[in-house]
Amino acid sequence: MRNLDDVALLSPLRYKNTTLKLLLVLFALIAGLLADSPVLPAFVMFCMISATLLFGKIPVGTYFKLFISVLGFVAASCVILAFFAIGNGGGILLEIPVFGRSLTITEGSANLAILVFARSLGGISSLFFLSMTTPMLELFSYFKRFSFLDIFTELTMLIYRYIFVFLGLLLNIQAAQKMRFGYRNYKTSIYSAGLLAGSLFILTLEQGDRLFLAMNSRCYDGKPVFYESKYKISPADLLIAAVFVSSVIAVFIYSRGIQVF
Amino acid sequence: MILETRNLEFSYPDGTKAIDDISITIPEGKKISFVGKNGSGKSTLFLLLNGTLKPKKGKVIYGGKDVDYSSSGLRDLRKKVGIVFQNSDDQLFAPTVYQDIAFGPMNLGYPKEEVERIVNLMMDQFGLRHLKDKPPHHLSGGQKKRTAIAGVLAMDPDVIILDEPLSNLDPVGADEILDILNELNHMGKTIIISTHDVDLAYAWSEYVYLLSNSRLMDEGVPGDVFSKEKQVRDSSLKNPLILDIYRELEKRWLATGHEQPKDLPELARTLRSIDLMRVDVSPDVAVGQCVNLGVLFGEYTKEGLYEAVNSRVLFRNDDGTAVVELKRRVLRPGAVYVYNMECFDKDEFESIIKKYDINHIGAMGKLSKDLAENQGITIVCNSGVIDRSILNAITGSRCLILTSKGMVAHTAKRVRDYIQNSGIRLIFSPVGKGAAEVDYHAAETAETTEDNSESNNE
Repeated sequence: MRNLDDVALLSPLRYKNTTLKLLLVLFALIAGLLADSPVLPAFVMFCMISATLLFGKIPVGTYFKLFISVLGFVAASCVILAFFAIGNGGGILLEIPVFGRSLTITEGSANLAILVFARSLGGISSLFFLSMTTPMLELFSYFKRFSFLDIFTELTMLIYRYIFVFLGLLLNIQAAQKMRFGYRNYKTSIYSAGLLAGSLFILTLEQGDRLFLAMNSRCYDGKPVFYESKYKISPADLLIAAVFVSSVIAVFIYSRGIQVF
Repeated sequence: MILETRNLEFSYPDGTKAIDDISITIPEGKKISFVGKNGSGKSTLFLLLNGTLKPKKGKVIYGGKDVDYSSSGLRDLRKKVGIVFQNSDDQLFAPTVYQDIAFGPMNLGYPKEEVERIVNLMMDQFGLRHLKDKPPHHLSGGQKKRTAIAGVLAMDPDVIILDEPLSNLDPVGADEILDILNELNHMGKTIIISTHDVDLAYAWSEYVYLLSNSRLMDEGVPGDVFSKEKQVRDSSLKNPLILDIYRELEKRWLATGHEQPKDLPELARTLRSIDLMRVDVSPDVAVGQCVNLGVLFGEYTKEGLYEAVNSRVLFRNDDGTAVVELKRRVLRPGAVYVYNMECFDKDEFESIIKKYDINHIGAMGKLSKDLAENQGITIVCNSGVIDRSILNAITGSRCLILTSKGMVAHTAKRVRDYIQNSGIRLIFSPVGKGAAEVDYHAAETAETTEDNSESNNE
């Protein structure tokens, strides 16, 4: 089973400086929000998708499977928006009579819908870029830098580790239940799921005990231990980032006011 | 005596007695097994030994002093007595391999550079460097176990306790872990394992404790403990397979010597049926005397192309012939060479292969296996390497064992011991620059032992 964290762990962009990635994504998000034309968010989306696929070496199939599932949702919302945001003026583009009334799309509402659509996709592709190239591990050192509570950071790290242990257990138990027809119908499914939750709960308690033993026998004394990952920013990274930033700014300036309708 | 317990007793809160009056004395630098079925108290005993549990009665003594159960005392004890748990997932709780190995040293408050140095050292020693930033759930069972051992070793303990170290590992993975344990033992660490695998306990350990129903049933060298069949059966265990085979062979007169073979080469050595021949002898030879039959070849040989044969007269006929028992010695003996892969040099290596006419290469330890693979060396054997090499050498092969520094001396000892105890003539020699640096005494003891036994006969 591959989850998003596994994808990120295998990406070569994982070894790039996390701060740089975070800043770039923040910049892209803000630029997308400030833009009043769909051109800039579309440009950002194009850059982010290519960076994720080319530099991040994320399998195309994995990427678009996720992207399309989000795309459907965004598209549906924007169509609805086009019908309801007709207060923005402009000529009528489309009129559908429904029970004596009519649903209309105006130029203004269409432009707004397209802008929102582009902004959403731009934002999503930026966040995909971050989440598909930055595993949780790299974020832990940021928790410390932003001075979260120590205990919180440490708990997060342990939880992160044991999520995968228990995920494995859960899948095993579920497979064992399925093998004996535990999910044959609604009633058995409810019963099996209850048993599964119960046994996982007991297992987590026991694991907690064992974890305590294991940490104790390696001289743990309650003082949190921190690690920092240090990936340097190379000149090449900086150059690519600069090219991205300046081209976004250029597109921002020249695309001002450009609308579809 | 590094670790002792006196009349140790422990019960869990629900009243089950897990340890009942156990007194043991563990000498420093030995390989020790605790053998017993599941639930016999092994794991509880281990937790008592590193102070995680506090005994109800009796005491634990480390390095001659009673264990101090204050928090600083426990810290000192746990630094010296490391535990590797049975299930690696219990032990690997940090998000990456690097961070997990660093956990112990960080807790001990070492400065950052020191921690980094230790962790890098451990990763190199255990072949984990390429996994540095991987999370534990991306590792295989063997890799997890290696990481767990590295994490404990990073605190530089004197005693390393491993609970069922080979469970859930594939044979080659298990062999790697055993190599590591032997190497650590050779570096002077006391290694304690628990197991219900009697074959492992019998072949690997120098001293065995047999536990059953929370009590100590027996202790001693493995050959003695496992020879008491009833006691072994009463503890819900089986006899070691190799010992069983040997006994059956002995019953059928296929093996001789009332021995306790530990591994295949030792078993092979005992396979000697009585070797008789009818020969002409001069009239003055009496029964019981030795006759040198010179060199035999062709259909008269058994083990090599040419054999020097001595014989002892068992029976004399009136017609001038006698029945003699033969003692054969293969004239072109096989050889075992050992090469230190840490000082690998391609030219030197190739010249060694040519010079010694090597036809069987085995690699031992993760480091040398990886290196050999990178260098494109064809390895015929990567598990049970020493045993296989000896077996092959007996039948005339010339074997080369690739290993890393710590293991060169260990290999030398194993092979030399075998040669000495068996009297079988093998050549053994460390080869290459790297191996020559390692400290050991005479390399080819074979000659001397063999010559001594020869002169006794004549």
